[in-house]
This record gives sequence, C-alpha cells and structure tokens, in this order.
Amino acid sequence: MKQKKTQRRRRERGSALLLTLLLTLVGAALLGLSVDAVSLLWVRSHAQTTANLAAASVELEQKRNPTASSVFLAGTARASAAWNGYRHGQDSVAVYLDQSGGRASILVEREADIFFLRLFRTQPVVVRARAAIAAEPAARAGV
Amino acid sequence: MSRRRGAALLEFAMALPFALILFVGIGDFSVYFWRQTEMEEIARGLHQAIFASADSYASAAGSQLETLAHSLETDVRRRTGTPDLTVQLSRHYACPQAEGAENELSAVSRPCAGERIYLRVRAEKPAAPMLTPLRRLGYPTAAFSRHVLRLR
Repeated sequence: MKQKKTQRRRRERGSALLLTLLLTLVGAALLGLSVDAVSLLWVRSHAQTTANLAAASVELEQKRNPTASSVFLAGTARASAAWNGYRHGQDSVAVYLDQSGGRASILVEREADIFFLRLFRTQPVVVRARAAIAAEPAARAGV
Repeated sequence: MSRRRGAALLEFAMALPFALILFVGIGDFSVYFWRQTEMEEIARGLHQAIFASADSYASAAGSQLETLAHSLETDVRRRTGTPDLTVQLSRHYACPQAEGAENELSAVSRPCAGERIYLRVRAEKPAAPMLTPLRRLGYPTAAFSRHVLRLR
C-alpha cells in the first residue's frame, strides 16, 4: 500500500510545472494568432482609408478635368496613395484604377507582415481594399 | 500529502510570474491595437468634416488654419469622447506631371497648371502600458493616425 502511494507521488511530481508549460505554449500560440489577426485587420483598415482618399482625389481630378485619361487618373490615385504610405511598385504595394463592370473604383493591395501564421502558410497574405469613385468625397470619407 | 501540496504550490508560484507577464502583456498590446483602430475611425470622421468644408481649409491663411485645427479638435473630442486627443494640420502643394504623378509635396505654393492642394492630418492620443518595462522595450507612447488628403 505504502509502496503504491510512493510510486504515485513520484509520477505526479513535476506535473503542475508540465501542465503550466503546456498551457503557456497553447497561450503563446493563441497570442501569436491573435497578433497576426489584429495586425491584418489594422493593415486592412489603413489600406481602406488610403483607397478612400485616393478615390476622393480622383473625383476631384475628374471634376476639374473631365477629359482626363484613365492613365492620368490612375497616376492621380497613385500619387494620393503614395503620400499615405502606399507607393505603387514599392514594398509589394499596388494601386489600380479599376474600370471593369462600368463602375470605376480604386483598388489598393499590399502584402501584410505575418509572424506566427508563417508556420501554417508559406504564401504571403495580400490585403486588398476597394473604394468606389461615385459618391461625393464628403460622403465617402466616413465609410 | 502536505509535502506534495507544498511542491504543487511552489511550482505554481514559480510559474505565476511568467503567466502574469504573459497575460498583462497580451492586455497591453490588445489595448494598443484597439487604440490604433479607434484612431483610424476618428481619422475617417476627421476627413469627413474636412471634406465638408474643403475650400476653407484650402484657402485659410496660416493662423486661420491653426484656428480651424483647434475647432476641429474640440469638435472631435466632444463627438468621440476623447478629451486627450490632439489634431495637427499642415497644408502642402504639388504639381502634377504628365501622367498624373507628383514628385514631391511642397510647403509653399508654386503656381503651375492644375496645382493640387493637400492637407496633412495627424491625430494623436497618449498611450501608456500597464506593464512598465514595456516602455523600455519600445512600447509606443501614443496611438496616432497620419493621413494626407486632397482638398483641391
């Protein structure tokens, strides 16, 4: 009886430490995933504001110069996006004027930095934001 | 039995500081990310207010622009319930190139065909971590948003 008790005590020794270590690892993994998720949301939110401001700039340009070519308008959008930290062709950023489907819009893309998701995903995560060029700038800015 | 209980308590006491640091750290970074997202929302509200009277911001003299920034700040503080928010505005000019691109933003107007006027808007709110050592590890002292929007 006494021998059994001693054996059990030996088995249980260090179990709290092991359990804590395991829980800490699980906690750290969850933390890593949340950091990545929040960071992606953050980049997405910033990209959306950039797309909104670029679309507003294109609207102003269209009002001032109704005959402006789409190349000129795309350049206008890229200039606006560049001042907001999204320079087309740099740091995997792309800013397009999309006129497909009869509705013009600005598309902003950027590869987002991920940290822990790399363990599960080898491809980079591309964040996209789109803003339509239709509403008045004042109406769109709050979207 | 009591020795076993003591060992478990000791192991718990050893692990507790690490667990606490981890959880308070998670809390601190969550609060920071939340503040940054909140700043982005505030920035969109600011842009809306600026677009609504873009001409005033485009034509205001230097001191008038400061007055406009102050009244914008007061308005956004009241609307969003953020009394420690600060708003800074500065106006910039650019001349478009052949394909709509721009080389640089200038603080002074250099009249050219189709000159564009931009407003740099910076909104800031102090942020302090609960875990004091995080300050030394580069925890930001403020949550902020910084955007450039076209007025004309």
